[in-house]
Amino acid sequence: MATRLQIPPAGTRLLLTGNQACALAAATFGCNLGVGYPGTPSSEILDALVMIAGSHTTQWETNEKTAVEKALGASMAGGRVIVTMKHVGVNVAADPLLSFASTFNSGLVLVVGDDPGAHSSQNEQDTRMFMGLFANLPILAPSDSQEVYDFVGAAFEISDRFRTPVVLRLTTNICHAETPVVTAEPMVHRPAGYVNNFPNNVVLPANFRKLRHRSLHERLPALTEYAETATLTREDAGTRPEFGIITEGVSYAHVKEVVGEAIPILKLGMVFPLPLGRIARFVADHPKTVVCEELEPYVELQTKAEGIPILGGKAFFPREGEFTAGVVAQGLAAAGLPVKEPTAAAAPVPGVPRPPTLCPGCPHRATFYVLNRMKANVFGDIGCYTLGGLEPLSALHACICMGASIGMAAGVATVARPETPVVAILGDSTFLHSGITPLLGARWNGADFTVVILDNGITAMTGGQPNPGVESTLEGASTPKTDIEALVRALGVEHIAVVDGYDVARIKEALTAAVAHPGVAVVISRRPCALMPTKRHYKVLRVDHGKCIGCHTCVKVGCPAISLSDELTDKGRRKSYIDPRACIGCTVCQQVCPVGAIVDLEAV
Amino acid sequence: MNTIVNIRLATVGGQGGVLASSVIAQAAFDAGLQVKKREVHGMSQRGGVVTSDVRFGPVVHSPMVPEGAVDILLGFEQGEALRAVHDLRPGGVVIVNTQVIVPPIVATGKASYPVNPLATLREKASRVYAVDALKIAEDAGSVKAVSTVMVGALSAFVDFPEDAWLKAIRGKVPPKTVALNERAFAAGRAVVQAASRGA
Ligand SMILES: Cc1ncc(C[n+]2csc(CCOP(=O)(O)OP(=O)(O)O)c2C)c(N)n1
Ligand code: SF4
Ligand code: SF4
Repeated sequence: MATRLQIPPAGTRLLLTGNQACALAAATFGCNLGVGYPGTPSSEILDALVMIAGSHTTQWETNEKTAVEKALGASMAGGRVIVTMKHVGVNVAADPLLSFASTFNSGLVLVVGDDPGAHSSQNEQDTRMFMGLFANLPILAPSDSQEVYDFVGAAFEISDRFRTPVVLRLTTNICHAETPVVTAEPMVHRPAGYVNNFPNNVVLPANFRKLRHRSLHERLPALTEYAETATLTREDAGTRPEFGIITEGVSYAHVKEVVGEAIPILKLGMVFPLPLGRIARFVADHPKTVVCEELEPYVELQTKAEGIPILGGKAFFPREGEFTAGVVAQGLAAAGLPVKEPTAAAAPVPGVPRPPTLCPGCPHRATFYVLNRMKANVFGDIGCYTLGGLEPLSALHACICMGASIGMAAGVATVARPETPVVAILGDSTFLHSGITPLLGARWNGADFTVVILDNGITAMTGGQPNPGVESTLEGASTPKTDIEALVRALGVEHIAVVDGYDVARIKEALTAAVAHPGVAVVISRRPCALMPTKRHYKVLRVDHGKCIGCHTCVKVGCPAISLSDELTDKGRRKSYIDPRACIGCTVCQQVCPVGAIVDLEAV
Repeated sequence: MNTIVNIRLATVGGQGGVLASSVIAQAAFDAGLQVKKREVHGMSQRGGVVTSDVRFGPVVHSPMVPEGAVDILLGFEQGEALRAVHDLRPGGVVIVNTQVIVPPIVATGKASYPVNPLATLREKASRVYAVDALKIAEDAGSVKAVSTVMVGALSAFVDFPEDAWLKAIRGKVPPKTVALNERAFAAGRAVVQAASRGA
């Protein structure tokens, strides 16, 4: 692996993304373990942490639940640990988190990346609601990279002092925004060592009830008292004291952009528990106060429940999507706060639709092409291959959350089997994340459908992280890989075929046989992701215009390297063209061309 | 520099827009300015739209350029420049790579590519500089240097010393490609300098 970066001395000025700031802070504040499962927008935290020299271990786990469970152990051993995931990962990890939340353990910081606007997610759930109001875990909400950095340090301190996991809640525009950071003095944390603690770590009902009582009646009030005075929350003075804005996270940046120094701001750094006393005083001092927060009316509802007379929140600001300066300016104006006319965009010019597509040479393409031809009902999953649902492949008809494909297919096959084939499709990382147990259940209960595992040897969608199906760990150590075929066989599946993801005929043959097989059949379509840095020796292809009949069959494989040229056939149909700079020579288009018009670039 | 400069990069995944924005931000940072930068990429990597904002000046609050406040639009592709031009402020500059990247949805006839985007851009903005960045990058040694050509073109409008740019480039590109990227930067810079002198 590349040389690791040294932790810079205190006082170094750097320009960092929120994710990089989080990683550097973890290393600086003595974290012993960084663990997680990739997911936009927070994947790059561990990708960065592993590049930093230090005594910490950095690991991708199989899924968010196993990551959190490893973190619980690290915490019980007296270590400092950060666990990273995206917002929906918290759903997967909720079981251990919600029970551990009542125990008294330190050193654990859960870093969650929320995605307002769902740029790269299946929903835009608000972690403050889930981990705050529901799980009762303290939550810190930084507004920029410097705060991410500082709040990681604060989170470890809070975790140690109150013996509770602490959540650091980030959002896309914090994770992916680069802003300046001044570094702190690096420190080392030596794990205290593991000691059995039955009353604290075994949540048998009798133990749990005591822990729950203590956590609600001792720890929560202590945390609230801390939140009331913590410097994590601060006030910006303004020239118009009759008005006020309560805000947090990235919304603060938008608010500042719009109001500058004009309106007083209460900027919440700790959002669970809320400092309601401080909020009440702020509103008393600034009678016309609004709450400006992205997503759910989280601060607003608690403030109103306390009877604090604010003007409102979601009455002025949307509950969905990402805020912009314009959205914030509009909301403030609607609430009657004095804002200067914001700059506005002109009417958008209709541009070209540019939906994301599978890369040229993507190993998933041929399988979707065949599924489309088979008119299969395809229950999909989350990964690059979700794009197999878009035109022209159009061969994925349901997608809900990671690991759901197999269960959905099993449910349909059990209740109302369609005439055409029922197929579940998912990637290798997704299969290992949460596809094994539903396949086990489907096999056990004797469902009749086909599962396709697209094994591209990587977690591609989130930037190419390794998973247990590959031969190296995040730190680059070589490790035996999980043999997916053997695993599927061990689950009791009898009909298994392994095919080359570039071999159209073989995929068709295997899928036809699998669909005909009564009971669960599995087809593993294998070929490395086209973006993997492996050496390839494929020949770039071109369309021989002497042979092309303009049937556009090759276009239907949906490769971005293929387009229509201005050259016409006798019948006036446009002949295809392959961009030699984009083609990687996977031959999928060549295999489907009915007249052999696609040839090696060099062929004469 | 006493006002904020707002730059937006409108690119297609795989064109190096993220690298370019990171070079620009670093150059501004090294010049001692407050800098904030952000990126929006949907399902990255796979040929979708990638947008970055870079803002610098004495004090910058948000990493996101407010609506209609883009000073310089760096369009890495004609259709993408067109998509982003509504956020250009009156009098703002557009630098557009004349490259056209036709998405598969157009190739299959399900959608059409805008007719003559350059002409529309010229209607919407008074100062449009068209740069054949793909050709310039190819001449400099690799089509992958398109993003550095665009940074070079931008540099003609931003008052940092040339060295600050080169230092940022050296720090961000793969070591083996430094010479190539330096050539690409110089060529991009020269083209726009010549054009703006002519204008
Ligand atoms: C619970 C949860 N965790 C993480 C993610 C983010 N995510 C989306 S797809 C994906 C994995 C994709 O890997 P794989 O199944 O191998 O498919 P590929 O992208 O390689 O085709 C991840 C981690 C998510 N959507 N949900
Ligand atoms: S990144 Fe890999 S798996 Fe994803 S679309 Fe591209 S080639 Fe396919
Ligand atoms: S061989 Fe055909 S399908 Fe494969 S990358 Fe080249 S043009 Fe695309």
